[in-house]
Amino acid sequence: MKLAIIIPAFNEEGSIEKVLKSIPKKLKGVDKVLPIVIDDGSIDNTYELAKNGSHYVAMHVINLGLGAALCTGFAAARKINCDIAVTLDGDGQHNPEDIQNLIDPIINKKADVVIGTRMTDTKGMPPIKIFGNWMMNVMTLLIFRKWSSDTQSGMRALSKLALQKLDLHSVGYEISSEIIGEAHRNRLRIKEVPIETIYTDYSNAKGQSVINAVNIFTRLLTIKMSGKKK
Amino acid sequence: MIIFTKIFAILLALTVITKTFYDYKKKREILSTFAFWTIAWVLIVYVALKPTLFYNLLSSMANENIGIGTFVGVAFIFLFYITYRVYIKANRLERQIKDIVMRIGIKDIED
Repeated sequence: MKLAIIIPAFNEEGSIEKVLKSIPKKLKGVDKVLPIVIDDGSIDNTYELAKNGSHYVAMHVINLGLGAALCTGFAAARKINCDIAVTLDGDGQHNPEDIQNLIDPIINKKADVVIGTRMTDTKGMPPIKIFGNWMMNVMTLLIFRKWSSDTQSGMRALSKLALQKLDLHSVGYEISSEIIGEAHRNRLRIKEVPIETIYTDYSNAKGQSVINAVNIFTRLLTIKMSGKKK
Repeated sequence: MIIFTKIFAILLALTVITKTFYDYKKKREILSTFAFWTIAWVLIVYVALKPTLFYNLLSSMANENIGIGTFVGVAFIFLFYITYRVYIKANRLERQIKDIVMRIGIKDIED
């Protein structure tokens, strides 16, 4: 079984090496672990540093956004015929030790999409982020009729079936909700597992702002109204 | 209220013209684009300051009195149509750019 670890990165020279080094080389039920870094048009040394630490680095010639970077990562995972894809943030806020818990339900054929939820233990999470996440969960429920306790989590695992079925159009942060909406539309099995979040000044400075919620809501509505078949 | 609307129109026009001039100075826009938006916004401010001139002109062209409600309604429809066209076009372009960038990105990735 081949596992792709997709890491979208935009100007992450301060953390990308550490993130790549922390990825476990061996995991239960996995033959090959293949990190794929998507450099989303960084203007710092992210690409060069990623190239040293990862076998696969895809470079966006311009900065597009998280959604586009993840779509490129999923396309790369399909191209190298991976069985599972895990997404991790490039800022180091995820604990790679959680990868095993995330992929277990897929290996055991109990889920197609596994969301790593940060909401079971919100200790250390800034209140504004808790509020923003809750708001996005409600938006996702209203638009896609699917509840998740952490729709905006950047750590998730997708089965080969999910990689093939999800028809994603997002360019920006709305991708997280779209993945859940698309999985639900395709009747894929969605599961949540708790994950640890490492909050540092660096990771807190990154990520989306609550004000961006309006923009995400408009984009999600457009995606929903673009008329995908049931 | 009318005074407030006029002041708002002038401030908005000044903001847009300043932004266009800044883009032109930074060589992000060409001279003709800067000239077009400057003239367009001067005309908008002119209409905002003297709406009766424009209203009378339309009435004389139509050979009948056009109610101010009809005028505002038609203006709204026109503006919404432009917004819709720009939105559709921007969305299409964004998707095409994403597609190109993705293809270039994974070109060298092989099993």
